[in-house]
Amino acid sequence: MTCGAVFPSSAAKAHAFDVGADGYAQFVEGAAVALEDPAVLTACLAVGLAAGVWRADGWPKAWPFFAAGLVGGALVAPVAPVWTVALCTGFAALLGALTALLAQRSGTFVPPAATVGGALAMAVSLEGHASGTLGWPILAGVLLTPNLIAAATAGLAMVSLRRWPRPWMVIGWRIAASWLAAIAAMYLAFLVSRT
Amino acid sequence: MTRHTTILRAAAALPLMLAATAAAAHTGEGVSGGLLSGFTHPIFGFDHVVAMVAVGLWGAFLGAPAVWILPVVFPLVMALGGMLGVAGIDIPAVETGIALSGVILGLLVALAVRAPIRVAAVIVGAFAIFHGHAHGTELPEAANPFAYGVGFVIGTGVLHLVGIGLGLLTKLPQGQWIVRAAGAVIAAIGGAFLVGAA
Repeated sequence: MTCGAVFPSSAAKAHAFDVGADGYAQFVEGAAVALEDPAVLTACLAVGLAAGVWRADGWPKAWPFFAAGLVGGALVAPVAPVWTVALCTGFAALLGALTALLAQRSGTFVPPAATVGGALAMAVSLEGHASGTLGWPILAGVLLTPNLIAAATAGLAMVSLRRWPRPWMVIGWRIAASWLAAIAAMYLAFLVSRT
Repeated sequence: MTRHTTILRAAAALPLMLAATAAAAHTGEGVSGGLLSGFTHPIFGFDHVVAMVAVGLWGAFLGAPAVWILPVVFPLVMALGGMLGVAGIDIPAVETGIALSGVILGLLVALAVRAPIRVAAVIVGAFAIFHGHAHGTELPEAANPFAYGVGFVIGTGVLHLVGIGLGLLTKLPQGQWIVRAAGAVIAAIGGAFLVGAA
């Protein structure tokens, strides 16, 4: 009952892709989804931040789990409920908060979090689209950008922590993670309040 | 360059981040309007400014780990307050709580109170709820909510950094008194808001 109250049903707002456009346009449209959807964007940023702060080789260790999550999310997307976007945003807030509070002691939850984040990001991106209805250029674009966002975020964290191995650098990334969690939490509140 | 010079330059640089602003009329609509509305909400609300700076000041004054725990805890708890505001859930005496935050946090700095980290986090967290609620209820109708959230979280964070930058002055010989005086000014401003004089 509580879940029903928190995640009430609403009109499906899956991303509507222009399947009639040429291949390049479809690819760009698919690639833009992760950048334009706050839920997908914050989830990918949160996974990247968590992996980058976790350890020096955090992203290479986390990426296989993230990739597996993306594939899993693509498979369940046709049956994903409309409240998946709220779940994805809530995940981003929770992971951001955990990264802010635990930072480099986050080892136990980073790999599974990467899997969950990837799955939710893909489920939101492709929500409601039946298998086989989208062309491969769209799918390629949708799959590519989450990887780029998470990798770039993780890379930035890893490089900066390696270049300046000082306590204040870790503090800075913890603050960034708390900001991300706060932003995602606010957006989640908006999503829930407008349903 | 001596360490003191470095600290002075760092402390001076952070407040200058607030000086430059784009001259742009905005209606608060859309992504850019939402971002600007959110960013300027804590910046142009002096009751928010003094409290946010005080959080950074007190954290710097308390030293590690408070210097990072307080600016990490505050946005997280503020977001909870913001969620309540967006959801339309009322919190009594929000403006009083915001004004009181300036008074209490300012006094904590002025009186050089060295509270245990857990106590400091609870105090800061309690006041963060009020600030977040105010930001959440005042989300402009036409603004992009995600952009608004980005804006006011970053705006709040910038103010914390200003406070931490000023707090670095405690490393200087007379710096503690400068910081404590700043705390007294913050408490006075908070008091002015509390009695309705500002």
